[in-house]
Amino acid sequence: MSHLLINDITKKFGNFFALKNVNFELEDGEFLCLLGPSGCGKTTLLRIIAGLEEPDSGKIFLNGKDITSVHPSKRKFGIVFQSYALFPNMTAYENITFGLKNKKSSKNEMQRKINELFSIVNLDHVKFRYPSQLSGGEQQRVALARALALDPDFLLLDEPLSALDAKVRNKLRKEIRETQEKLKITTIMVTHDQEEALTMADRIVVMDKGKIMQIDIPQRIYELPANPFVADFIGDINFIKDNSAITAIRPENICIDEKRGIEAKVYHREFRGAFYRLTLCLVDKNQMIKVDIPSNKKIGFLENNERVFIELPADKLITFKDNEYYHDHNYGNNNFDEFKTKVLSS
Amino acid sequence: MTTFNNRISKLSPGNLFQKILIVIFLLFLVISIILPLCSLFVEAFHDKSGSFTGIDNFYYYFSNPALSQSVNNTLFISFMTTIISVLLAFFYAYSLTRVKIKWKTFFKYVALLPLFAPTMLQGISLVYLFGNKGIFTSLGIDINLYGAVGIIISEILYTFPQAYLILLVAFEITDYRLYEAAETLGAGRIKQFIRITVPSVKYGLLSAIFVCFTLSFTDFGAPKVVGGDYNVLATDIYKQIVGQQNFSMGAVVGIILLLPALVSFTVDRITTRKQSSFLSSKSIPFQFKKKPADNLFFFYCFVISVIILIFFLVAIFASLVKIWPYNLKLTFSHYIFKTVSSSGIKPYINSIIVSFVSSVVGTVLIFSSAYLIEKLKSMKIIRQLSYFISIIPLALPGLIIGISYIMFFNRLNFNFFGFTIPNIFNFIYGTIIILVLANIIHFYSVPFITANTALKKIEREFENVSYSMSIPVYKTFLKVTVPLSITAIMENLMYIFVNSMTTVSAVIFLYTSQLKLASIAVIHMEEGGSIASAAAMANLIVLTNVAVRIIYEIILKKIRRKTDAWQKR
Repeated sequence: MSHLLINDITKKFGNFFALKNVNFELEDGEFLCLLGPSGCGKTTLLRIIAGLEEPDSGKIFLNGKDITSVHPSKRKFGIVFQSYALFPNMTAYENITFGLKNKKSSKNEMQRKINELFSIVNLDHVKFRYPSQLSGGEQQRVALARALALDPDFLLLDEPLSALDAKVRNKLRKEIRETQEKLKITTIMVTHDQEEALTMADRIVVMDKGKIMQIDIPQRIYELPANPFVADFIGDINFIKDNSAITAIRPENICIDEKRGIEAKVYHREFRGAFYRLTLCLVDKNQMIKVDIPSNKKIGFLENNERVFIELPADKLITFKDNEYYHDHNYGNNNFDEFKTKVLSS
Repeated sequence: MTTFNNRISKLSPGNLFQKILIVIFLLFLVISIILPLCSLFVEAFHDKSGSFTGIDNFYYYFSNPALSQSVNNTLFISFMTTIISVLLAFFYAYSLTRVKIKWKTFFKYVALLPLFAPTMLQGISLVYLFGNKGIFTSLGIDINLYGAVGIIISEILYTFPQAYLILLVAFEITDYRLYEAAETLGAGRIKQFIRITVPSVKYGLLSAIFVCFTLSFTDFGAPKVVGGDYNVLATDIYKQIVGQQNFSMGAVVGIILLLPALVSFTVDRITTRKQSSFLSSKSIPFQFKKKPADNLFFFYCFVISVIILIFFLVAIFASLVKIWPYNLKLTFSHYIFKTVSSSGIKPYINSIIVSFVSSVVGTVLIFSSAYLIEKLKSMKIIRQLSYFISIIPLALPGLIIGISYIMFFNRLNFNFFGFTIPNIFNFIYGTIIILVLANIIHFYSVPFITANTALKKIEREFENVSYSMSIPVYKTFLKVTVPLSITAIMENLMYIFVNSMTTVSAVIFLYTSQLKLASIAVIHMEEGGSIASAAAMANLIVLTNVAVRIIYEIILKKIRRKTDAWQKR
């Protein structure tokens, strides 16, 4: 039996569908990411699971029990908000123990629980500081510890890392995941950061415009996106129109050659540290294409407007059965026309 | 949606409690604001015997020159007061915010002094200076005090701090980059003043103009003391109601009195919304530079603050001498009120009790109500309605509250289309409850807005966090929301107390001889010719208010020291 079951949830704001027939389930101890662009309904869904919003229709089951109309205070979840919402007039210690004091647990047990929490989130040195005296990362950990203090059934994280700078974020990704694994707590995290979702989640729910686009493990989401939206939202991708069918390929899977393959011209070259991002123009197809080449491979010979050949390995090509989203979003290479006038005509 | 809310509320007693509470608060507001106002309006369209007369009462009022002359008089007073007071306050606030002058702290506090005094105090001092036995009069300088001149001078002193405070805030909201840009473009000081300074405070200026106009239009204390035969609307109401028991005519005058306040209220609502958008996070505060005319501004502030101080010092001095201005031997005899009034010192004690109760009960009520209006998620219509009614008192002069309270609470029963409904609220009439209630409602809106602003700054998710931790909402309210809003709460406590001590307009209709208040005693003693005792009582009010203010500042400092750790943001 699934631990948490989201059954056909629909939520409208006026005429706008924030969520439309959303279904998925979580296993006990699973770490699930809700991923999507802003406005896709992921935060609304999280708030519905917490009971802070009400769905228009649909049900939520926890361990087989319908909790759709259960008040948030009775749902036994821990939550970390984007802003952390730490009580500014309480020290880190007081913030974390605020809820514990309300529970009638014995002093010994409470002390043991507190010690355990502080060691898990590594906060011993800042116990008696106020939130304003803590760094962003420390605040985040206090919020996490506070959410975990009452041994919740499940944990909800609403963009918990978005307020932090890149270095701290990377470190905390690992810490949160380790803590989650240690406690084996079922977790749902909302994020718009694909890298965060790919690195942390057991499974990812990709959402767009209130609907679920794909649910799968990170590797498959990346390698076998179910539709053009997912392919485009996660990582970089080239779409290649072939009559009516649409195929796609990731930039790093394209091979470059001096003599054989499809003819192309270099439009632009960008150094990105670990790799070079080339923008090429396929002369025959009237199309632009992105190619990544590891920077340890010498490509010094490639100048703008130079002629190259590319190969598209067949096993790396993704073919979509469902073209619906392609036309919605217009994923074509927009700067082709510009290129045509600038380069091809010269 | 609603069915869902009901389902959830059944499962959470805390939430249900909040919903019941907000409905109770709304009922409270309706009973203490809306229903009395309705009574006032109903009364204006009925004659003495209680039969409906349409606009006959208004017609009678305006066709009777003896009565309608007051409208002209009041308009004249208010125009003069507004022009002079706003001009004086404008340059005073300008000097303190835009010019590098010395003694700024001193000037700031002196300008606030009139806020601590009942308006009769200015009148009394004027009498000592320019009245029949005034010093200047005895030197041959007669300014023809009793009448328009006296009222205007008193009203200027009364409205000056209000205009000054509004303009001070307007001047403080500035972006120095505008002046830097002007400087690089070669604009001089005067050009900068006309093209940048004045436009940047235009909303504050507008607000100050309307506030001064409304305050002087509705003030009762000063015309009572120095008005002589010069009739204004506020004293007319008093005569109609207390003197002639003509409630219908009192209600008519009341409605006329309400008009400028309604305009002012509307303007104020619009301007506060617009002014806040002027400042961006990139704005730079004003940088002071030494300029040649600075001494002129210092001199200006010095003269004004000396004049304000003179008024207070004269009142203190005159209350401490035997017979002004003939026998200047010091004595405390005027502070022994038993000799001139049978109630003695009791009004002062009553005032302290009423003000204290009003301030504590009012603050608790206002803050909890503002909390529910701001933080409750459901019941949107009730919350919006409550918010709207909560800011109505901003437009209600004290006199209106006073007479509408008589008309509503003094009734034993109401007639609705032939049905007779007993007035279950009649029991508070003539008790301390109605005095406290009148004060709370009279001074409701400003603390409400203060509380609302403070609550808006508090993170919205705190309630949600407490849900997730199964902490009851009241606990989060007491342990988080209240500590985070403590400065706003303190400010509200002080605001209601100080204003309850000085006010006379609402309570003059509602007190009983057992529950006479200090400000009313001032009026009675002045009426009875014991002007030195009246001054003494007024001084006690000022002294108490200044003491309360000092205590407030000390407590605030202590709180700040404690909360400094977590208030750095």
